[in-house]
Amino acid sequence: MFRTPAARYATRLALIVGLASAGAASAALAAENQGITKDEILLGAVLDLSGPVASIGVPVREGQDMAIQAVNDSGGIHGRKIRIIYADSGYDPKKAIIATQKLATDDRVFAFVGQLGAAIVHVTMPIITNSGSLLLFPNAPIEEVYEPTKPLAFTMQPAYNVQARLAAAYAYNTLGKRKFCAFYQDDDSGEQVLRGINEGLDKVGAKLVEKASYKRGATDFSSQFARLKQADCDIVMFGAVVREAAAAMLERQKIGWNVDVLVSQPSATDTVIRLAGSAAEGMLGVNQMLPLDMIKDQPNVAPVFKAYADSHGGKLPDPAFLYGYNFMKLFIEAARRTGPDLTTQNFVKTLEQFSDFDMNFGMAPATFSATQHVGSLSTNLLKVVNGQWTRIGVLK
Amino acid sequence: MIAFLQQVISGSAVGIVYALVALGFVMVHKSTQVFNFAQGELMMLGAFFAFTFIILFGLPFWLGGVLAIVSVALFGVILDRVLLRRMVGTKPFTIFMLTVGIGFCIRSIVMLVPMWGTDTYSLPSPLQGRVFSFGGLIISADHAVILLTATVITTGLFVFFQFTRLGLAMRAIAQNPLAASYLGVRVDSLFSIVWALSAAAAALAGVMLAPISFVHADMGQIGLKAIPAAVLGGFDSLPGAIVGGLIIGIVESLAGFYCPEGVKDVAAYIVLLVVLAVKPRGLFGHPDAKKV
Amino acid sequence: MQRRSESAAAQRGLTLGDLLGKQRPVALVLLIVLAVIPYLHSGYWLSQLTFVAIYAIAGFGLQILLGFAGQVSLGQAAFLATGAYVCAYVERIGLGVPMGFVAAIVVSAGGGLLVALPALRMSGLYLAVATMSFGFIVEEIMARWTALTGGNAGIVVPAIKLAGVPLDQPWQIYYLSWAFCLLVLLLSANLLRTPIGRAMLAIRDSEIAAGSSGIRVSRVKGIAFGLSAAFAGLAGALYSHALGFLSPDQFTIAMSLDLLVMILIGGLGTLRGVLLGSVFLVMSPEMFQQLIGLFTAGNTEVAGLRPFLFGFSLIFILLFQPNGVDAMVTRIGQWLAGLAEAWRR
Repeated sequence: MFRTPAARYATRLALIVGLASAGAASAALAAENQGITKDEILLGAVLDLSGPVASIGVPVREGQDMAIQAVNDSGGIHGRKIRIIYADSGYDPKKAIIATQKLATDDRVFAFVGQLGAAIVHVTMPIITNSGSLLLFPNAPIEEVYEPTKPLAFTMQPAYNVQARLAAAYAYNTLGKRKFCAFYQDDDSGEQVLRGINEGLDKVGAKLVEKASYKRGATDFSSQFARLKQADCDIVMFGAVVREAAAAMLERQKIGWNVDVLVSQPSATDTVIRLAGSAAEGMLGVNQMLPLDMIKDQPNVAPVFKAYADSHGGKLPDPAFLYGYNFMKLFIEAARRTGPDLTTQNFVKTLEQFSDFDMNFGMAPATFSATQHVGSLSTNLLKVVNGQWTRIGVLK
Repeated sequence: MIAFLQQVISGSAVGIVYALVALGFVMVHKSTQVFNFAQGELMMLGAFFAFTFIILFGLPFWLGGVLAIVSVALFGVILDRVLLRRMVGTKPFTIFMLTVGIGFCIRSIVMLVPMWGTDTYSLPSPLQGRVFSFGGLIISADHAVILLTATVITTGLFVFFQFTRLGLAMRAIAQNPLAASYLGVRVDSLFSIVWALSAAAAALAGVMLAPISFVHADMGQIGLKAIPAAVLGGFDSLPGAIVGGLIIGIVESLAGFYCPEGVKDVAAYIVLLVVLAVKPRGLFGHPDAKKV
Repeated sequence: MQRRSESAAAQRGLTLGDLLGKQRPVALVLLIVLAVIPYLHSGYWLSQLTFVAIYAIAGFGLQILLGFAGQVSLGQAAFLATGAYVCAYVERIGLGVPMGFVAAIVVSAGGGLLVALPALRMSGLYLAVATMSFGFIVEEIMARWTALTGGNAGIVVPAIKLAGVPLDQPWQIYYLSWAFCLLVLLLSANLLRTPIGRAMLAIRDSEIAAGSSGIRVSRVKGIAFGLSAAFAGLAGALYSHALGFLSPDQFTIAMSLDLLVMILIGGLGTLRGVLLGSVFLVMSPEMFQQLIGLFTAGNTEVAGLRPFLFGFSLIFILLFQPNGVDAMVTRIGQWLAGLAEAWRR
């Protein structure tokens, strides 16, 4: 069985490692975790840390961690420190479901904060709410989190299709566009944007002239753009994500087509400009948060940026970082207002009384009630001017 | 008509990248009978090395690119000597699964390296943004360079395998390593050279693809599309790999333009199955001599 | 003593007892543990073990195709997908759960036979690539055929109702999956005893020799493909209920590769290896995570750990223990038996 001494050694080492990890796993099994203990609040989050939207997942986690660190360093919330367990979904629904099950039924977290991905939240929400955990402020602009209202789910993000509806209406009414085209990712999130575009156009009595989709991971969009160009659109609405949106802008530049482009929230980020360079100039987008350069000197914002820059070589944070930070701050504030008797019911009651809570960072103030579990339905309208995102309006 | 021709041109540009990766597949298989599933990951490694040399270390594009190719070629030699050498004589399927494992490891290690991780990086080429247009047809300068380079490389490799002593020796070890070694061919060193060449081809593809598709840990997926290209041409024919790549690229482009949603993404595989149904050894493949 | 029971077994077909031989006590203990788990722990670990059973079923299918008959398939995920979606669809239109499972198995088996037709002419590399292509095409069909599959958005799978009684509790699905798993194990073991099973082994070792010995190669290969697809379809049906949600991006080449990795690490050509491999596939990423957690305080979710674990383990096994964990377990068993022997003296 052992061909060489190396094989024998290697195998024995492997056996020891294997047994040790089995032992560790059962030790972990033995430990009981509740959502709330005398000195701890246990949270969970399933994020994409290694897959197609890792460029969003990783900063979200960093932002959440920074907010948690700050509150833990100053003694916690009514004497309780926050501990959060992350799981990597890789944007794979299967992994997300299993990880969520573990966090909900095994670790029994108090709440899932910042769960990432429309498709992911879509499939994991029932698991979370059925287990008695809260689903709070996921990074997933989908309608079903708040429509119809669910007792244990709250969000700060209006759905993709709601934002797309607003964007389409804006393009029609204000920009006067009449020949709409859509370029979207051939998966759940892209199709949701497409749905929103269609809903928005329906309302004003218009229709899509052409649409083209691509599969996540595609690198060539020449045929899609050739088709769109042939349809002679006067605006292309994107339901794409960072990497592909940037590559598509490069393609658009390559074929010398100066059509207006309006991107959805996942692509209205600095990363797209970084990747697409000059090809991103003039791009329109919708995003709940404001461009960083506009807000970085505000008194509430500057210290956060400085803290980030100190540990990241002087750079500005990614917007995803701010979502993570901001949503966690909202959780912390709600937990603080609930008081020392922190239970799920008390937390929900407190949150439902939030009115016009200032969210900073250019986000609209948050208002919740027993019948409204979405903080706000408006979004910022942005445009890339001189290589930077700038706000040119607010859409409600 | 213009639209059709434009799609053919764009498709060739994409196809030639498949072809470069397919070249690597074919080179290794021709000489060692190994199907290297990690070829796409080697390409990704080449792109990351290029990114490190050019962007992080600030070297000029061509120098960084060459260094990247050399580094990955060395990596290929290490893979051969440390891992693949031990599997000589085992079933082809087992070696194939070893390369699957190697591919997993390369990808995960790239994700774990602090400077690289799971982020996406841009690696602009010196010709970024420039396009050539003639008569209404457009091709980006980057793609034109890829086409040119691939043609040169393939011709060079073809000449090498057909007309040089080293190339002759490689064809000998492909047919019968034992007999070749009896005749004085240094089989060991030649295996390493083949792996080096194949890894270099993958790295070259990575360096050329990076300005277009950006550098990220999922780049290796292209490898999956290059497999039909290699098989289409018959897994043992170098010019076949190029033809296969071009065919796949062009068919994809045309499908994306004329066919309904989703066809473009599977066009490569449909073409492959159709060809295999008619010619089970690919367009240029030779029927295997069966050892009984 | 052994020979007598062996020939008796050969006549009545293998029972689980015969299959296990000297391992009977260990297997009994494991079975008891399996049966009792739902009372000890619910939730995550229960669902993990359920998936161990489900992947093992698909794994037995792949073992028959690859380990016994020597046919490489990189597209097994397509049959899991077929089984899962067909089962969900049949249940959704109200034909009931048993019909759902039967349909899943039959349609998948049909798919397997269909794939077998062109596959008969191919081998090795070309067969692998052809099955891989088949997998991609089926994945795309699943995404486009929204009436059946709900498209990219996926579908929620309705809870099982047997004769009006809801059977959607995790422990029920757990028992159902393991019951099927043991059944499939038995079937696979008995297959090896039949002429067809032996014909498969012969084809694996040398197709030409097998053909010249009078074996109808096409027929046997077809059966191998059909059976492996049928088992994968069954696994898919169970999977749909275990997970509760289906979407096309769950059944990609990644899943097909996972099954291959599982078979190889477990032990190519062995049945026990399938179970061992399945435990590895489903449970090792989490265990590895916990181990890392012992050394690094705090959050341990590092991207890239799972592919690294699989890749490294695969390389390790192929280089040092090519007969898989199964062989290692045998060796440990022999060592333990030797110890026991020495201790008895």
